[in-house]
Amino acid sequence: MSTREERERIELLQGTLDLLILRTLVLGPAHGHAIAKAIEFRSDDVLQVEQGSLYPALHRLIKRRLISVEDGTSENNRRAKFYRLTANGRKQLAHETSKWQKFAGAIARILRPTEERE
Amino acid sequence: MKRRVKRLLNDLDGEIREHIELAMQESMARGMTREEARHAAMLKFGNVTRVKEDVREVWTAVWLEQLVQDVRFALRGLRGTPGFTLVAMLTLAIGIGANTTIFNAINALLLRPLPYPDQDRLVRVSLRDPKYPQYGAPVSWTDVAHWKADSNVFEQIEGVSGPDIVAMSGGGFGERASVQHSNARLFPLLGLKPFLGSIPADDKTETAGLSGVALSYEFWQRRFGGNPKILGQTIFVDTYSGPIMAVMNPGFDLFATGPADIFEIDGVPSAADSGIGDPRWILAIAKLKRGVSVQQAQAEMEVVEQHLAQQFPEEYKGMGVRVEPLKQGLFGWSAYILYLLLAAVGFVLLIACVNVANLLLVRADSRRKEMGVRVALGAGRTRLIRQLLTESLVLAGAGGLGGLLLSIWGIKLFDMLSPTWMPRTANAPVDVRIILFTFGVCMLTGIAFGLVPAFRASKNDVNEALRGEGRTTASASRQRTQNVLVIAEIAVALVLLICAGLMINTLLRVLRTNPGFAPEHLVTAQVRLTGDKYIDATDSQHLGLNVIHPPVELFCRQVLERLQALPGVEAAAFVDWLPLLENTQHARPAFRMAGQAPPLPGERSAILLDSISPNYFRVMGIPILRGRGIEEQDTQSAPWVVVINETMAHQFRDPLGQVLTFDDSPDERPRQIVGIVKNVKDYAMDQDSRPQAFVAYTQLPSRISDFSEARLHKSVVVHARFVSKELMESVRKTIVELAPDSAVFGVTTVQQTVSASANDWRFLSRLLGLFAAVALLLAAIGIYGVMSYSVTQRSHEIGLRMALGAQPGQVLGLVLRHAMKLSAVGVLIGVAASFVATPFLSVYLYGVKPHDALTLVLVSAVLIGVTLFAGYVPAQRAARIDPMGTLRHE
Repeated sequence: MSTREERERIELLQGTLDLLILRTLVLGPAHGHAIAKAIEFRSDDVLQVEQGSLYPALHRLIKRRLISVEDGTSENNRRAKFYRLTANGRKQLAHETSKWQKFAGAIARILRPTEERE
Repeated sequence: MKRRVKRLLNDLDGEIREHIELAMQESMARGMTREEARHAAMLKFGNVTRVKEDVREVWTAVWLEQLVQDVRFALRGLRGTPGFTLVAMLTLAIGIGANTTIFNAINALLLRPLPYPDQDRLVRVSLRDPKYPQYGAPVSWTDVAHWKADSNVFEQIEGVSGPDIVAMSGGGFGERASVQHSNARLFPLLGLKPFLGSIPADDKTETAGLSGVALSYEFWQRRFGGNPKILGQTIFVDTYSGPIMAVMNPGFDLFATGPADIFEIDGVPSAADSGIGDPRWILAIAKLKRGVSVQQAQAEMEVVEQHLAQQFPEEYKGMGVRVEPLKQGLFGWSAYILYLLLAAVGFVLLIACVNVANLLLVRADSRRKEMGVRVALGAGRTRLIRQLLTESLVLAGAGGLGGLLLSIWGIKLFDMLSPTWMPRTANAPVDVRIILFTFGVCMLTGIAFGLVPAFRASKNDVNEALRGEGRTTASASRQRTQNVLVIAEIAVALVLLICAGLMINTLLRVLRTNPGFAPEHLVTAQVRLTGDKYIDATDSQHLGLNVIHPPVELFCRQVLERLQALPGVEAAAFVDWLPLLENTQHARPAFRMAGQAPPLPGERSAILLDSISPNYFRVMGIPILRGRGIEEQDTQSAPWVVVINETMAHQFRDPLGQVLTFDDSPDERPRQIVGIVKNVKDYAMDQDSRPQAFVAYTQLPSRISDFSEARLHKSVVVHARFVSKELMESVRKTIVELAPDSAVFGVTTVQQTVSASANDWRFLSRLLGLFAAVALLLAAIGIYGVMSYSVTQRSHEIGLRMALGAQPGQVLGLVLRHAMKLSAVGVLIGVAASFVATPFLSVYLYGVKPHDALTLVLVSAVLIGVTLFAGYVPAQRAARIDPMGTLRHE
């Protein structure tokens, strides 16, 4: 149906979207479209979020009380939902970030020697 | 929280709309038209419906909601196609019902714990005869006594016999009853207390001899109307008489072959005073000491057995010992046949699954449009598969319920068909295991027959489905799938048919086997004499009590005279045990030749000994090969003679005229061999005749203590021109009048007895035949379904062919060739598969090789014939297609 087939773009690993949302919201509350735009922009368009999948992720985070939701007004002057990082969310972000860095570092170390051998 | 979530979800639509609006505005700012911008934004956002669904899923146990929805939808769909639903459900119900029936037997015998407290400490101890290593051999009371004295691992070890048919008399009339011998301590060992009375297990009962009897609850109700006053009364049970000490609890049924009527409580001879050659005919049951494992007990018993082998080489040399959990010891032997049957019904279920899968494929084809619409509206592929699988599971569940109902009837049928040695399975209560098994089978079948159609349906191309195109390509691949399924179905059905064919072939051979006598025009009746008149109960120095022969002889003489006087009777005769009777207790003495020393205990070879009336060979049509038979002249005072059969004659170089003495009574006299008769099948049709000797009933010692069961049992045989119910009844009456206290039973034709001796094979033939017939029927339905659907699909093509000049005969051939091809491939695969399957049957085959060519060819021909017939009906429909009609229609 609507799966992307462009090779250069990377599909997100399960769960990483949550992390990216939290990171985005450090800068302040934002609505869905803004979050999607920010993720794409900050990754130089490498990470392609199927924007729709943002919403289940947002709801997951609300359910885990990592973010909260409030009513606000969009650029169009229409009612919009704004998502904000909670104290819990901040803690979780710090935790997840260090975990992710360890993970990424480990993977990088594993991959490096193979490349050198070639 | 709940309300907040609701609001969140309600606002979701607006939020998404706003998201897309913002994205459009950005694109439009970069110069896109509104339409382009909307397209780009939608593409970037993805499947809106699914996003909404995913969000809902975060908050609710959506799978449950979806399940309910799916089930409701499935039910609606199934109701919409009642024909399909009914056929599918019935097919599955038969398949699942058959499986539940067989599993019930497996559960009852092999899985369910025994109903005794501490059942995990109960074991069966048996001898291991190297000749039959896989089964525990019976043991003797002496063995039990040795083990009791020498071993250290058992809290208790006791003996019990299998049920024997005997006569019982008391309260003025005789009756046939089944009896188990046991010693008093068996009941506390099993943790059983009597329902009424008590079975004293003090040291006094440790001496030989009968101390009393216990009645089963069922027999007490049936025979004595549940009267508690019978306690203490003396009854004659076969050759023993003793007081009724107790009534057992309802349902106590050690071997599960139906509760024994009476328990004879025997004392156990101690190891010291039992003799060499004590017959091995009982089962030893023991309770392990706490903390002792079966393996430890086995190890210790092996040491004990080695000591015994040194002490009593003639008794224990070459014998091993075996300790196994009681349940396995009692029922382990049935595992092979039960798992064999489970495999057979598994095949039937497999065919049922294939059939339903076929039906689903056809149905899926007609629902392509519906599926297309659902995909177009945003249903994900997994969601679709899940929904279709739900539908098959609902179908399987309905089939499973039907199967459970069918199995109630099936279990009764199973018990009805099974031979007497097969434990009954109908009384076993339905337990968790059966429900779990049936449920598991339902789930498995639902997935098995639903998965392929579901995947195929979900792979549909939306556009083609909606436009109603691509019919031909999709049908071609569906047709391929269906062809494969039908071939599989035919192959599996053939394997079952071959197995059934081999069993039926065996049964026919067994029935055609010459028993060595002429059973036509013969009526037989069994008499079991009992009571003071025939038995001297006062002298109980040995376990077997004394049979007083003269009154027995008188009874026999009178019976012969009276029966011969009956109208329509040409001749009457009797023998101790009619050949091929189940459960015979022949006299089995050894003998010693005149002028030779008695044989050593290890070389004792027992033979079957029957006492007969003079005309027995003539009435039974048993040819005398050499010398003469038993004649009227062979009276008590004349020289004692014996007639032997061929097998026994092989033991001598020149048998006629030799003199031998049997060792079963001190009063036996030397007997001269005066004749040799042809062998008869004495035990079973597939077994060779054992050595056997016949003596005149008028030439027996007046007191006999060994093998008294045989001396008190007479099989009467009456030769009549016309066998009728009235004749049988007057035979019975005549005998009852002469022995009112004894049991007269088994009044039937000799032909019936011969036929009943084939019941084991009949059981397997009938069950396998039934399964194979169901498989054949299902396979025929499968072919019919596929062929008629293919004809419908190809009606346009066929119409075109006919318009271009094809004759109806050619069209018929076209369709039949397709059916033929399928069944030919199926048969080839099935034959190959049968080479793997049939060797498992070989233990049950008689006179037929597992790869019997005739059976193979015959059965294949039947299968091909049936499939062709199933294909013929649709083929004819194809041949009658009106070319103009179909062409106009398209």
